[in-house]
Parts: sequence; structure tokens; C-alpha cells
Amino acid sequence: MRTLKLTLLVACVCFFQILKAQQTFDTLNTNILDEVIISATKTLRQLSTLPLPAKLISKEEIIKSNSSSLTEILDDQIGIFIVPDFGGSNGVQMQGLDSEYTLLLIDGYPLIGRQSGTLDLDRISVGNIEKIEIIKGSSSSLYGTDAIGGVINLITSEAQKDLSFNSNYKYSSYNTNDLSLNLGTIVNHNHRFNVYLNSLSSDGYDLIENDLMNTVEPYNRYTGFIRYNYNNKKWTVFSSIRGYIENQDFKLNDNTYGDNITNEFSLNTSIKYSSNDRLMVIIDNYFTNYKNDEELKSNNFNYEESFFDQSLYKTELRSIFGLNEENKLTFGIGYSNELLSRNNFFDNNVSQNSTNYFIQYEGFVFENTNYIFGARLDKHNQYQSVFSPRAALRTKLNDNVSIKLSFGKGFKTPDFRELYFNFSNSTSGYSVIGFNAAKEIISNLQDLNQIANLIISEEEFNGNLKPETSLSFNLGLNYKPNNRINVDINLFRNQIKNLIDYKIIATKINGQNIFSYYNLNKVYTQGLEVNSTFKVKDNIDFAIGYQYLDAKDNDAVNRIENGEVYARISPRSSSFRIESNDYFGLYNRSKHNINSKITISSKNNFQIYFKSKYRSRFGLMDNNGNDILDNYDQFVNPFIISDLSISKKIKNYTFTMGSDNLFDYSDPQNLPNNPGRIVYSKIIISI
Amino acid sequence: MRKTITYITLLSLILSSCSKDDEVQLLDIVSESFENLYAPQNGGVNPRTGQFTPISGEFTKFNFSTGQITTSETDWDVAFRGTDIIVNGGESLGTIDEPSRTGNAAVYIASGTMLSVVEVDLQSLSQDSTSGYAIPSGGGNGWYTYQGPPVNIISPTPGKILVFRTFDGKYAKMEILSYYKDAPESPDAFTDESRYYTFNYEYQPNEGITNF
Repeated sequence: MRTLKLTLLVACVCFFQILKAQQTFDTLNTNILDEVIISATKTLRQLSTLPLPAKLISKEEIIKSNSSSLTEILDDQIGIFIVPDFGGSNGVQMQGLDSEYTLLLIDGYPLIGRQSGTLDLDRISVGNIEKIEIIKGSSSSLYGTDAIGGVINLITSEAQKDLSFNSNYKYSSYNTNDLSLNLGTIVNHNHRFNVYLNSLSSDGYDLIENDLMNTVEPYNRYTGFIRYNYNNKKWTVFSSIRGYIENQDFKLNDNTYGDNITNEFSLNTSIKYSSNDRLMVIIDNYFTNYKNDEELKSNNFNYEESFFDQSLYKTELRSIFGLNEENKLTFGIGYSNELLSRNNFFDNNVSQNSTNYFIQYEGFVFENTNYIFGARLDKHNQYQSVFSPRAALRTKLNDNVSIKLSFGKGFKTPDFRELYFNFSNSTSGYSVIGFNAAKEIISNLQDLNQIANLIISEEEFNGNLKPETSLSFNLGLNYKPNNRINVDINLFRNQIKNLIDYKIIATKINGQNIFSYYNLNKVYTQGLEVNSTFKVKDNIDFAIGYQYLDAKDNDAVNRIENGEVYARISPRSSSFRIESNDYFGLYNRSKHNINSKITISSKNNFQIYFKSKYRSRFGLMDNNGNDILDNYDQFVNPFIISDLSISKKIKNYTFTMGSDNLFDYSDPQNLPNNPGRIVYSKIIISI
Repeated sequence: MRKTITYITLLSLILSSCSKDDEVQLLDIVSESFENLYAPQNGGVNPRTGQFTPISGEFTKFNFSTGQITTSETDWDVAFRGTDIIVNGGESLGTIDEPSRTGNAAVYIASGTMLSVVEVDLQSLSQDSTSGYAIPSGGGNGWYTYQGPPVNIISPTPGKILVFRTFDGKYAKMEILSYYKDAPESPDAFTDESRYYTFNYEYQPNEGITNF
């Protein structure tokens, strides 16, 4: 099958070479007038003409934010929230979609290790990141699974000088030490090496005094990253190795203690061949492994032990044809294989693999319009095939105004947990089992007379869990009256179908439920995002952003309209039927979000940076038992968090002092990832 | 003359049928609330070890006509143990210490409010059986919603009205308000004592009348 596709590809190559033999194309030699972005199309594109909603976070902004990890820098972006899950992982919420629906890439390669769906961003240090590209809306037409809410791609720095050295050290509250070293060198003009080392350690913090554990236990994190580039006229080779170790020790009391160790390793190579300026062929190979082990010991015996060991191998071949100076056609085929072994699983080692084929056409018409058509077919050994098309159009109405419009289908395949989980809660006795494991586990329990009541019929165990699918829509407007003002407005809507959730499938004789995963819900997220930047004076930059978000479960909307949902104001009052406008929406979503940033620089390399973010009220749980978040539930109060930093550059040194969460806002119960005011100082040495 | 007599007879008949003295006196519907009905249980899942031991312990029985907890083996309508609710009708599920059913009680869960559920739907009534209770056990199945970790709260599902036939064939409806002692405003599973039922009920004391 793959041979056939390859043959087809080669045939196409020949066809287009003949067709467009006279035309020239070379993305790398194009005069780049403004910022370029690679993640949106897997080809180099000018951000200003891209028909998709995208944002770049520059190196300058990364440095200015003084973030130790990716969580902090992303949290400063409008419409992006960092949301902690119960396991303490901090994931990203974008366009109102959970962390599971956003793909996170480093140099185009996906990060893994979503133990409970959330991809923990605390583990990503940003000292070697040149820029962060954020594409909003579905990108499954290029990236396949998980790219429903969008793609965040971290581009690492490439050596630009014969020899460069950069080091920084930041000391902050809770005895947090963040030390980075960056070394870059160019050897023989063509070979570029970068080495990056980071060590981050902290005493952690405890927001709630009288519980057993600290909110964040003391940790040590080490990141090592080496990248190599080779360029000549025809060949480009890019290869990198990334390693990460995290160690956390904790103590529940004098007798019970434990540790949590994370190890991560990734390796990639990308070989690009460019022939006579018209054709480019790229072969990517990527392997990554993520391991987490947690042990809880009581003086002499192991009380609890858990492990999680996931590997991913991916390969992809892309051919990019320049049909003329601007129009490009991309073909790609790819394969990926994923393995997982973890505790509480029905099967100790599970795996899945998929092949995919994608095509994309980037066209420019008239003077002012360009478009993208793309589609991808994913064939999976566990699920039905998924076809994900995307179309986008941008047109410039006049010198100051342009509009963009895009539609895309996205999907997310069920994760291993939803298929193979076999977990029983030790305190209350309920169980959660994966869909593929349910039939056998239930029949075993029936043989042991452990099942009191089977709630679903046996036929419902047959068949497959379906991938979750989405339809995303974005309509954007850019207004740039002059070089000092830029305003981007984007309307978005994501409609998700076949959302996987758990439901009760049986009750055990202990009266507790057994849950399993099913394609149950339909949800939508929609809203408006505004991003604007103003150059107030030559030395004053001001940026303000706003997002309005409406995220709801379609079924809950219908049930309320049909008068099937009731609420109760307090446990002393009777219940009553709720109205449509009593429904607040999905958990952990704020309707309003405002960010503002102001930078004031003086001629003598002195800079003040002040930023604030506002998040309107949101609910974390249903308090009145009707399973939806309504206006009669309890909400987390709206809040504003402001950060201030002051820095001064003297020759090769930059000295910074600052405070995050300057006004010391905290809400220990609801915002465990907010430690309160942080004070820090930092020194950067660049040679 | 005959005609007049007929009229008088008719008139007296009408008058007598309208007379209050002869009419069957209807009793007033009882509308009450009951606080902190304690329904302990033994066994279940040990929170420390995770071990499951079969649930046991006496059910706390309730009689609608007296409005009181009772220890009578026959004159009870509904009984509580932990989150399980049984009626005095049908068959025993056979758990330890489960009382035998001596009456003809039955129950169903109606969607609505105490005000909106005004008529008993006789078709929906069912009794306990050897395969399960008429009020299904487990969160989300019956009268309550279980909010998992980290809060582990049991909330009576709003809009669930339990409609009963009593052991002696009368009707009652009940709305459970709280599962925690003194029905705290925001219960905390770790500090508030559970297995204390607070509920509103209405009891129709008149034989054969199925509305409230």
C-alpha cells in the first residue's frame, strides 16, 4: 500500500515538474518582509497573509515575561487559560477547549505524556525557544488527531553567529532557582550546533495547611537539548535530542512518604531536499518516550505504586511543489505507532498505529486574495478512518482592512485510558473501565457474582468507540490603519460531536457504580477574540486583548429547553425548574477574559513591563446535584492578576527584578496553581 | 298532587345529598418536613484499606401516617440505610439485616417539583424485588447524584420526587433535600456527618385518593 502511494507521489512530482518547468520557487530565498510562520501550513508563510487565525510570540516577549516554564507565557495570551487538573498537571485551554484538544509541538513534533488527558506544560522550559506559533481552530487536515482547538508549536533557536553564549539565572520566591545555559556555534559555515541546559528547582508551596500534602511538592527539573543543522543549496538536515528529568519527593507523615519521577526523551531527524527551486522533499522521523513513576511507601512496604510509560514513533514524507512563485501544492504521507504500558490497565502493553495521507494547496489569486485547501485521511487500526478537510480564504479589502475565513474538520481518537482503563477507587469503591475492556471485565465480575445490576445491554459492548470530531469555523478581520495600530478580531465556533464521557454501565453488589466510556455528548464553544497593539509613543507599547466565550453542552441546552432540569437554591429549599438563561455552560470556562500589557523603554536600556489579566467568574463543579453548572451553583470569583518587571541592560548583562501576582491574589481552594505573590530577580549574560 | 309529591321527594333527595352531615369527611393532606433521619450502615468500602465488607445494619423505618420513625416490623412505609432506600412491599434483596416486606408499599421517582407532581401515576409504581430495589442504588441512578473526588459529595438530585404507595394503600410524595446532618448550606464530605436525611413530604391520608 505504501509503495503504491510512493509511486503515485513520484508520478505527481514528474507531472508538476513538466507542467511548471519554467517557474521558480524557493521559500527560503523569498524576501521575508515580516514574520513567518511554519505551523499553519507546514510551509513557510508570511504571517500577514495567512488566512488562518494565528499568533506569534516572539523571543522578545518570551524574555520580557521572565517565565520559567511554558505555562506562564501561554497564560499571558488572550483566550488561553492554564487550567490545573486533579493530578496537578497544568494544561492549556484554548478557544474554550480542554488541553486534550490542543496539539503541542516542539519544532513540529508532538509532545506526549497525557496521563489523564492533560498535557502538563510546567515541564517545558522556554530558554531555548525562539518563538511560539499558535494556530487556532482545527488543524487536523495537517496534523491529524488532537488538533481540534489548535496547534501550539515551539520553535527552538538556531545558531546565528559563529559562537554565541547565553546564560541566565533567576531566583524567586519559594527558593526557586532557574539556571539556563545556551551555547550556539557555526562550524564550517554549514554546520550549526546548539546546546541548551536548564535546571529548575523549587521548595514548592502549600496553600492549605491542614491537609496531608503540599499543594506543590518540592521539585527538581532538568532539561537538556541539543540541536544540529546542516545546510547547503540542496540539502538541509535538522536533528535534535531532548531529555527531561523531574524528581519530586513528598511526605504525608512520618511513616508515609513517596516520590514521583518523570523521564522524557525525544529524538528527531528531518532531511530536506530542494531541487531546482521548485520541488522540496522532506522526510521526518521522530521518536519520543515519556515515563512517570510514582511510589507511596509506608515504612516497610509499598503502599501504592503507579507507572506510566508511553512511546511514540512517527515518520512523515512531504513533497512541496512550487507551481509558480506563490502557489504551492503539498503532498504528505505519514505513519505513527504508539505504545503504552501503565498500571490500572486491562492489558499491560497496548499499542495502536495509523497511516495518513494529506494534501494541501495554497493559492494566490488577484492582487489581494489567497486561499488554502487541504485534507487529510487518517487510517487507524482501532477506529474507523477519519477524513479532515480544511478551507481558508483571506482577502485584503483595502490597504488597512483584510478579512479571513476558515472552516475545518478536526478529530481526536479515543486515548488508551478510554479503551483499557481498569480502575477501582479504593476509598469509595466505584470502578472505571475502558470501552474495549468492558465486555471481559463485566463478564468476569458476573462469574464472581459481583454485579448487582447490569444497566446497559450486552450488545452495547460491541463495536468501537468513535473518534471525537469537530467542525471549526473562524471569521477574522484585521485592521491596520497605520504602523502604530493593529487590531485583530476573530469570531470562532467549534462544534464537537461524539464527545467521550463516562456513564454508568453496571452497579456492583457493594452498591457502587461501574463506569465506562461512550460517545455521549455534543458540545460547542463559540466566541469573539480581539487582539490589539498600539505604539503609543516610540518608547511605549500597549497591547490589549479580550475574549468572550460561550461554551455549552448541546444536550444540556436541549434538556433545559424541554423543562427537564431542576435546581435547588439551598438544601433547605425545594427544587424548581430552571430556565435556559440559568445555564452557565461548561465547567472552568469564564465568559470574559481581558489582558493588557504595557512596555515602557528608555534610551539607556531601561525597561518597565506591566501586564494584567482579568478572568470573569467560572464554576468548577455542580453543587446542586443536577449535573450541570447553573446560576444557582457556587462560582469562583472573578479576579485580576498583575505582574511587573523592571530591567536594565548594561553591555552584555541584563538585570531584572520583578513580581508576578503583584497584588497577591489567591484562592487556595479553587486555584491551586496560583501560589500568590512571587518576587524574583534575574540576570542574563549574552556574549 | 302526585306531581307535587314527586317534586318534594326529589327536592328532599337533592337536599339530603347536599347536606354536610351526610358527606364522608375528607382528611386534610399532611404537608411536613422531617429533619435528620439518621440511617447508619455497617460495612461497605473501608476508606482506609479499600476493602469491601458486605453492608449490614438495621434500616431506619418511617411511617407516613404517624410522621415518625418506627421500629414496627409491619407498620412502616419506607426505610433508609446509607444511600439505600427500600419500601415495605415486594421482596427482599436479601442483604444482611434487611427487613422482610409485609405491606403493599410501592414507589417511583417522578420528575418535577413538590408543587408540580399532583397526581399519582399508578402505572409507574414498582416494588422491591430479589434483583434490586424499586429506587435504584448508586449515584445518578436513583435519588442522588454523587460528585466524585476530590469533594465526594452526595447531593439529592433536584427535580426527583419520590411518589409512594404506603404499606396500607395510601399515597405520599417526598422530596429529599439533604444527606448531611442539619442540612448544611454547602456540605463538606470530610467534616459534615452523612446519612442524615432531611426531606419534605406530603401524605394523602384518604383511602383511594391519588392526587395531592
